[in-house]
Amino acid sequence: MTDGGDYTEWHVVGLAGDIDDDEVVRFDHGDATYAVYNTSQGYFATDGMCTHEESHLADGFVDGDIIECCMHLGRFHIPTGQARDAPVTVDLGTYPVKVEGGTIFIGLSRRGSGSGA
Amino acid sequence: MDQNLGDWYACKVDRGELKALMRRSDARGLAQFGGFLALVAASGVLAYQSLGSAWLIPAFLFYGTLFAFAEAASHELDHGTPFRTRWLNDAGAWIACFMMWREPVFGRYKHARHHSFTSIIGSDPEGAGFRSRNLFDQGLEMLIRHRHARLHMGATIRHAFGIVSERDRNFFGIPESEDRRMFWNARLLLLSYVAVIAWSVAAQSWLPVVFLLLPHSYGAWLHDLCSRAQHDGLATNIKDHRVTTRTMLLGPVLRFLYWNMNYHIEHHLHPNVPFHALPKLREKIKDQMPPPSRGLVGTWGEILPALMRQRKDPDYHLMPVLPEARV
Repeated sequence: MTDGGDYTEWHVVGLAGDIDDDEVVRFDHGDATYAVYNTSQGYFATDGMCTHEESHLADGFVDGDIIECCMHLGRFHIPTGQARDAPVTVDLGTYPVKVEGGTIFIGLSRRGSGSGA
Repeated sequence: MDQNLGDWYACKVDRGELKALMRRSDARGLAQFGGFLALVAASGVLAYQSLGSAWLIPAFLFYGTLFAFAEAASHELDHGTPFRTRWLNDAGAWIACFMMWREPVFGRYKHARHHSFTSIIGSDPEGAGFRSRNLFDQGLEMLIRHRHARLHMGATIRHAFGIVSERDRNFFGIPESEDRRMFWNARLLLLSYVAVIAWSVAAQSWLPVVFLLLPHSYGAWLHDLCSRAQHDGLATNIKDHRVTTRTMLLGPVLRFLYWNMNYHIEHHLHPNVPFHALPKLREKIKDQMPPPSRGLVGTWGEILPALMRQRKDPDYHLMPVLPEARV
């Protein structure tokens, strides 16, 4: 499948029922780690590590469309990856997510770089 | 020191239960912060009524002692956990930061570093590893907060003039993108303090200064007895909050004033859990924790001899008994 000229590979994250409402799970692929969210606005995926310090966002707290890091409580807007509250100031990369046949897929480029949305 | 957050001890707790504990509540935040401010205001009325009487000193000591717990409020509000609504946290943090002489951006980055490097000597900007071993100086700090004033008011004045030190940038980790916000916060804070002093001068009365600027100094003792108990006398340079940090059991009045920060191991393990849910978190993980210290007097009965001994033996520290060692 092509996506804006970049080749996108779709990887199975799990079954839709595996992620509770307002919850986040960790998905590792290659050397990279991602966070996949189930929010009231739908499924989303971002980089898995906080941009402030090395802490997994999957251990954080989903509040509506915000993910709060578990370590220093920096907050990001999940759909856009935008850094919202200190101590985070650098945005997260975001990745496409689709649900087909009850299975959640994350779209990663062959080089594993995000859209940087 | 190399910092990999994954190296730190993590307790086992069911994710669903933890998530329930992390939920924020505007009602709980309002009850706590509103109740605290109401208590401070009521004690301020008592202090005012005491003017000209023999009750003046105890009344102002009582007012200042309550007022100085703004530091506990500021700590929680800076974490952003008391209220669900963000602007309520931010507004509350401003009030509490004014009360305790601290600009919020600088304070937040400094405290973030404390959470990253808890009790790692040379890296933790707060806590036991940060303090001088001079007991007289520590006692003086507890009574008048001169070190706090120098650090925070110094930063506020520096930042109000647009100056960022090398330490601000490289030790506290304040990024350039925060400069503008930090500078304007500092200017606003400084201006508000100048306004209080100008009010005192215009009114030819010490009262505005004594009521609004100085309580964080003359009333600091009780809050400091609580907050110093968080890490003092315990181990340093170990990536396990159970041996560097202390949980102590307190009565309901102190727990209210101190925003449940006596559950301090639990706070460090899960900073996302708001103050009101810390006792519940404690219940869920207590089998993985060392026994808590009991009462403020009892806790200082442990700390003081340890501090005295550390004067001669800097490597000495108390070592709580961990559950795995009790088996």
